[in-house]
Amino acid sequence: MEAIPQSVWRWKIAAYLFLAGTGAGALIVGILGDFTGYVVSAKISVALGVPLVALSTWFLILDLGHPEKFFTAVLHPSTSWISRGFLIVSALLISGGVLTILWIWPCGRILDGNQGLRMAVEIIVLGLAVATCVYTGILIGIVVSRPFWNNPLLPVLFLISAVSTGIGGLFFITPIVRATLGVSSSETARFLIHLEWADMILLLSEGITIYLYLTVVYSRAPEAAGLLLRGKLSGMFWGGFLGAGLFIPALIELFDWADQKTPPLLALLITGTLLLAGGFLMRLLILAAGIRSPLIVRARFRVRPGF
Amino acid sequence: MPRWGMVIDLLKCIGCYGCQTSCKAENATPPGVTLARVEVSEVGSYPNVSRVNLPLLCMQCNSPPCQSVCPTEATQKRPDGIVFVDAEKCIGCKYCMIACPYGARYFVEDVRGYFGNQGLTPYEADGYPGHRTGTVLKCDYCRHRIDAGMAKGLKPGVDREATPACVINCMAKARTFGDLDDPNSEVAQLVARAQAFQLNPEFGTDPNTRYLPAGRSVAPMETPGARPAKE
Repeated sequence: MEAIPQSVWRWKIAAYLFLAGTGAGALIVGILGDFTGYVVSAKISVALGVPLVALSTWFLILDLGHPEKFFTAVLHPSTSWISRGFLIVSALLISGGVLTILWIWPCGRILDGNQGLRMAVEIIVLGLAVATCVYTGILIGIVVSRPFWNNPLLPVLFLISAVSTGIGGLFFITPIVRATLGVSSSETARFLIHLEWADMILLLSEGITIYLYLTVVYSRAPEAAGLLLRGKLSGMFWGGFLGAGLFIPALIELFDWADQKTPPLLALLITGTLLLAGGFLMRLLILAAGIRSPLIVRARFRVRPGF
Repeated sequence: MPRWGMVIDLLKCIGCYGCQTSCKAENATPPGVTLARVEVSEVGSYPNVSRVNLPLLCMQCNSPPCQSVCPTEATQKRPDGIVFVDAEKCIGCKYCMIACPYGARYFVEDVRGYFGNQGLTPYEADGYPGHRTGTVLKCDYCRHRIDAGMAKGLKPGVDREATPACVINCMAKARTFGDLDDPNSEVAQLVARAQAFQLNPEFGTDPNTRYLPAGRSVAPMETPGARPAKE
């Protein structure tokens, strides 16, 4: 009989993990872009990151039984990763908000003209963005009784995926920005080509990490891994996440990158959509596969507790 | 200060669900919430097959993971070892349900009762206001009975009025409750037996709810046991 997927934390928490990761990833991409001289694209990416992180918290709050008391979630940072995450994400929202306001809109000239100060703010935001990506993996990774999650590779996987989905977000929004604001330059085109190359590396790393991850957890949580590999989630895992979310975007990026020309807007839109969908699906699947360890009664028989 | 604990003898448990029913009656828990429950498992493979009843409730862990992950300090541990939820502080994030290895926590979605559109029965109407919707509920060894009983000078585990409902209603006397730190208590003497065990000690939770094995008539088996109605 097949194991039943975890159902305490479902799509809202997956949306939280995904949007927090994507927003933080977009900030990482934007800041690294600015460090390497791609200012216009960096601004688009940074402007995308902060609203996504803010939106992610909305899903977390929506999942609460008492959303009106969400602010009390900060009370136990000594041991609770929700409290720690609350602090990390709040700090990211504040510092990212400051960067957006003083560099992009409405007071863009302040940091435009002060490169030293901008870099200082960006380094803070970069650190907090990386911490946010890693934290989303630690949040569920510390649960010892759910061996599918309890794996040091999970934060690594979430970090890689976050940066990749951040790139996906930028790919997705670039055609819209071009169409609405008319922002287009050879600089953005070059940046996008570099990002396609970088994302191919990221997708390859993500594939390798997923392989290692499943290899590690298979011995400890065979039923959970089986859910993804051949169980009721296998279609979404193979076809949805690995196929549509990893392989196809990598393939499109490979062809685009080989051309070394401005990526076609349609290709950007499709790649961005697939990267984002794949990132969300990956978190949804990992959450669903986080079933509890069976209870061992004197090592003679196993009973899996409900929920 | 006592340290309350429970021992459940799996050999004596006949799977009558009396603990589950009496818990619901005592605590007026809404549909979907079974603070005490029995997981029934068919184990083994032909011809060595057996049926095992595993009564489950909160393990009242000495190192409760539900407490450490709680972001609002709603989950607290009393000096006598009882882990409970302060519903006023709980924001319903369900992280404790994720962290509990034993599936002992329940989210109170609503208190609509067992009879749908017919509304609440007088009993439900009386009992349900004690549960706050949107929060997490768990077994606390019927601390209201323990506290009220001790205030009257009664001894939990000995006097029925001061003992958890599931214990006094167990017709097979599979459950024993008392002070684990009192070497003269029955529960401490049962725990001292070599066969007494904790569920999945590898989680590091150090539960105060212990078990005695069912296995004297069951050959060692490694097959998966009962599956939950849902994970």
